[in-house]
Amino acid sequence: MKRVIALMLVALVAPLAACGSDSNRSEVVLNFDLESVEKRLHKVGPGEQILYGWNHLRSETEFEGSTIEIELQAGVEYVNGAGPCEGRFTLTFPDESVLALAFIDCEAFTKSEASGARFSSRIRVIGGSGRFVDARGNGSYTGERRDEIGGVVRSRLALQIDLGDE
Amino acid sequence: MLAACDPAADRVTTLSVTTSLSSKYKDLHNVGADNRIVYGWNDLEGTAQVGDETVQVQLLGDVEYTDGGGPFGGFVTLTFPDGAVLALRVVDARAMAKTDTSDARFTGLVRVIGGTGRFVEASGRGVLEGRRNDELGGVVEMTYTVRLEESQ
Repeated sequence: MKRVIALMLVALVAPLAACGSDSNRSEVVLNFDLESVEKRLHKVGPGEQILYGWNHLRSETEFEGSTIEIELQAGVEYVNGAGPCEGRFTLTFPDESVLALAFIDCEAFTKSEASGARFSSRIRVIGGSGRFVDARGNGSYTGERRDEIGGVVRSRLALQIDLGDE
Repeated sequence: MLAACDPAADRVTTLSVTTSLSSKYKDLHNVGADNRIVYGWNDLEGTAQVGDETVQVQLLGDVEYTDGGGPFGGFVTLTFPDGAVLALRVVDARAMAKTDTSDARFTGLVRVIGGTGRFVEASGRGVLEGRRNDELGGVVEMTYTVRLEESQ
């Protein structure tokens, strides 16, 4: 028997809005602001135009006294502020269940402003723990950062998740 | 050793860096049935003797292993005594290991990202080979062999 994720997620997480579901697969959307908590970045190349390394970002979402923690381990290799990115999300729910996601073909694009960037990536579900232990799925990620790397990234995850057989 | 491999092209060299890398920081997560999937970061550091120079080696590694092995990536930063930096990107790399991640063998490719100082115009590609006897987080013996092209 398949379990349905949508009702559980919507019941627990206000910003995690169900867009639709069937008996075993649901679409959910999560909006949040990521803040950098640690960076390990290096600059190389002529004019230090190449930036590479890690950026560790976190976010929290409060709902009915509970907190959902969002962690992003991001890796970047930018030339003049744009280029490929990679990363993995860890979403930790109030009951300690974890949902793990990975970027696929993430790309950062420069904006017309002097600094900042937009991000776009497909998403793959790595797996999870607790009620997400058999989770599968995919989705998309979009983000926008107004400041230089290290600044807040306004983010949106749209996921299609299947919890698998019970 | 930093050895010229083509006498006619004095800017092409083969750089071989063998190092013992120790984990300085890990941020790993286990998920999936029986925690068979491990993913996250491992920051490793070591030194290597390259000719008569002692080079600092940092590997910002990321892994996504299932049953002990699988793909990994990362950034390698080689810092030479004069402050010059050569940066490598790990691509298409895999670990084969026991299900507890021990007895691991690493193979993969590296690409030169760029550098500073005498490596500021560097480009090139290479390979990596390594091993780890202990579980993830243990000491990694690694060799990076890079065909280094430095434009004039």
